[in-house]
Amino acid sequence: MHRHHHRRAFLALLCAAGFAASAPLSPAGAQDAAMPLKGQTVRIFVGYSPGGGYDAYARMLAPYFEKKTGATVVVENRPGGGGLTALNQLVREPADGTAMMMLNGEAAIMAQLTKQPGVSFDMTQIGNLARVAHEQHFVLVNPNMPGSLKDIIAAGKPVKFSATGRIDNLGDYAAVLCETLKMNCQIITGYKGSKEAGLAVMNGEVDALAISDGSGNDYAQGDKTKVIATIGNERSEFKPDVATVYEQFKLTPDEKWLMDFRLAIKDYGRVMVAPPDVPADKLKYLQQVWREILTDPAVMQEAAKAKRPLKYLAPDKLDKTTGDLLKSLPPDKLEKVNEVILKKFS
Amino acid sequence: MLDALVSAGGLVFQPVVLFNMMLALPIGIVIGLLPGLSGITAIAFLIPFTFGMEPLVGLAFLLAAYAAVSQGGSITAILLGVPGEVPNAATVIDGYQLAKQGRAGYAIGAALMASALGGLFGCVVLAFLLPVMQPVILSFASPENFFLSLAGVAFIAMLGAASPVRGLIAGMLGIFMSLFGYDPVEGVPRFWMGSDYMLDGFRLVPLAMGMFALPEILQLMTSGKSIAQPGKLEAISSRQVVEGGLAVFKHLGIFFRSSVLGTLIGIMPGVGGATAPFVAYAAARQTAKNPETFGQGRVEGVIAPEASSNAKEGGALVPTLALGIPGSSSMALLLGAFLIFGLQPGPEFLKKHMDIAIALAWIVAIANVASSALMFLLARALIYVTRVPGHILAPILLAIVVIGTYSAGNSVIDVLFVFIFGTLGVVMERFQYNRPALLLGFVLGETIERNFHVSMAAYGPSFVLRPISIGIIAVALVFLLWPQRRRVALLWRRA
Amino acid sequence: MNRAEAVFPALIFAAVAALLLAGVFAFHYSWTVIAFPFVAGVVVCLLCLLDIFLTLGRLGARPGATDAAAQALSLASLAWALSLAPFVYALGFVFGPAAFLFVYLRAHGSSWRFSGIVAVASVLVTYGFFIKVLHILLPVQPLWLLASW
Repeated sequence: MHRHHHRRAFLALLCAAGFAASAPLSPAGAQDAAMPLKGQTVRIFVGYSPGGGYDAYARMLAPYFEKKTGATVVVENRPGGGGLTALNQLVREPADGTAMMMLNGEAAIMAQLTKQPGVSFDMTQIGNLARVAHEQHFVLVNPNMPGSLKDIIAAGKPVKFSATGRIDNLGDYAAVLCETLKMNCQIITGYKGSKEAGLAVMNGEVDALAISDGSGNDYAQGDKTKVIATIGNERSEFKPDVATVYEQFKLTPDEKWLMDFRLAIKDYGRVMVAPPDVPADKLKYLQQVWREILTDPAVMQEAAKAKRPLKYLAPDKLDKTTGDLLKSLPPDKLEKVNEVILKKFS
Repeated sequence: MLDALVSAGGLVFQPVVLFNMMLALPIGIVIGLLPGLSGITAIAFLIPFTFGMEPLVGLAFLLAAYAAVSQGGSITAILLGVPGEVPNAATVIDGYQLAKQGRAGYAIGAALMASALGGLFGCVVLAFLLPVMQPVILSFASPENFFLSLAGVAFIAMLGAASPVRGLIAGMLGIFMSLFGYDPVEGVPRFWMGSDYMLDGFRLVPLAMGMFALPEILQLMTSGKSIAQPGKLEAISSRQVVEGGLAVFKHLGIFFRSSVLGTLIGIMPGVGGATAPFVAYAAARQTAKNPETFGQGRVEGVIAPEASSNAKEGGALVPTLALGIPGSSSMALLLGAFLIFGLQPGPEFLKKHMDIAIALAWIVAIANVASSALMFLLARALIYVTRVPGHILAPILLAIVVIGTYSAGNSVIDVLFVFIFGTLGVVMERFQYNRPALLLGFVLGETIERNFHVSMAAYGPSFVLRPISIGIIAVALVFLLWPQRRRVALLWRRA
Repeated sequence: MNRAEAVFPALIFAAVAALLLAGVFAFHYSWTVIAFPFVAGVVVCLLCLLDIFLTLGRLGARPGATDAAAQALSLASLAWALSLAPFVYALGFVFGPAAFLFVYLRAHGSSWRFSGIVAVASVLVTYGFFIKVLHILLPVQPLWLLASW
């Protein structure tokens, strides 16, 4: 009902753009073989309650998937376990292409890497379909702090970071940053959510926060906090004038590997995945559908307008990433990662 | 400031805005009447309808439905003893007793009037404070949140003043139960026993539904009688409802105190909004004559939680609009709606769009009043529910509770827990252990632990010496000792 | 009656104590993890002991303040309430409640027509309102067919 109204509006928009582009991809006569999910119900799991970022991405992309495949898409919110209980449930679903998940890929890899209790999935076996998005991270500080990382380090005073937990995309970034730059840090976990962690920086309870660029940009409004660095291989489009950590500091490969490792996990990002063991032809079909959706300029434009930009990456690259991250790390480095992220700077 | 107010009024009183608000109200009321469904459900459901609406129209639509949901929830709390949402659990205590005495109309009238005026109060405060709120919000950090939650725990003991040991057991048990699942410091899941579901511990909706609804349902099934005990029935008329509405004006002191409490609690983003009705209830009890008759059908026990609950929603808009930090989980969803409309709440938003911010306050106020008015009209029909024989009402109620609980979390295990907590609720009711106290402990326990840990880590033990913290302790002590004030004064003079 | 009142605090004491002991000795939680539950749990246990002591001390002495409030719940009502579960398990969330309502109402004296009407209304509300209008994902199919809950 509501989706049909919504869909009609966009059909008008997309018809002109999409029709010509899609015609060669679905030759008339091979319709049903080319649309194996037509008429079926497809579920996209989201590991968080309605209203969050992952939910927004899933609901934004669902109509496009419906249009391309002729299936009915239902977005199922299954919050719990830090967004990962839904993944545990996904891998138990039948591998017939009707169940997918809009996954917090960073969290999943970190959880598996640090052997968290409650992990019953294996990211090296998961059916990667596409990367939907990934974000840079900002380092936010209280306005009373020195204006650059170099000044903060030079001042020598301990820097307090806020976080909700050690592997929550806040605390682990802080740990990696502090270890790489040899900062004197204290990571204070226990905040209820990233918004509370941001508030703590605003009211001076903590000094700094490492947070995704979208949220960080929100909290930097009105000079309530300052953004002094970007954690990423590139600058963020939210604040293109803020230099990356690598630009601000010249680091040797020995010093860089931990941050590179974390950034490789970050580049895995928000992904659309299917359970393991989906038959090869179905998997290819799903991957193709998502590639078409996520690289369609009209879709990308709508996404950018809603402040949910798309950054597609192909599944074969994603497979290589998970393999590298989870299987190729030598034991001593793995131990170091666990130690820095879970224990240090408490 | 004045021109912002005027311009806001101009924005609000456009026909299209008012029309959409009126459209949203019935939807909110229906969702509120169904146990298990909450304001979040209403907003999530309605957001897709707002695509294509002008920003203010869409936001008015959502806020109106949201305001109406809590009115519906109060009604089920009174008529059925089942809280529509967790904050309504405090209304159950005296409201349901009134319904059993055949005075449901009176309770409903009081609840509706208290909510309408409480909501108005919260919004007026909001409109005036919004420009200056930021420094206030920013001076409340983890230590203050810790002491506020702790004060909430102290009130638990007061809720069970008839049998303090049992009240405390309930409250502390609630706190203990809230600590299952991920610990806030290291992220180690406590007592999860290998079950994915228990990674996050016990869930609030099954607990509230199970403890409150199941015992009532079983009671109805056993006795077969209607909720309103025969022998005490007046004819159903609007007169009772009007009387109830007027009762609020006879207890203005309690009303204002509760509204202030609600607004304050709503403004502070760290304290759970669910505590506001309980704190107001306990404060009302503390300062009333004959506090031991609370729990047997005192109308003040309805006015206090209802007023504070709606006042807090106006309060919750403050940090949401002023800092972009949601004052409650429903506000978090609303923030998403803002983004869809291309608006970005926060300091910049207030500078550029103060009139929209104030207009939103107006809208919440009007929605409160309008949904109350709508419910007044429906009240007579709804009161019939208390006259339906138990053998018909009970199974229907059970089905609704089960479906509503499933809807809240998409989990069958939630439904299982409704029955488990139902058993707990039955035993607790039988032996007079205070159920709202357990609920309050459950809501507060995790907050206390988090804020304690963060306070210790960020400030060290000297966090107890912060000025606002000391202020909170002082006010809490005053409230706790108020009934004993003469004795305390005597002791003080002798020392 | 009064002695039976001590059962509840005794059970709570046992459950909480067991969990705390398991936490320390079986699950090996570190101090930071177990500190708060430990404090809360110990307080609960002490309060329960106090409650038991006070209750037993009052044996026979207290007039029935509890008796007035306690109306015995029949076992039959408990059985009926629990019976909703197998209905939902066998028939899903749309037809399960409807069947339950029909059976319950018939068994407790309502007419065929009334029971039928309520059952049909239930289907309309669960399917029409919850599923179609609110888009809440109530499983229509029997629960034993679902892969994951």
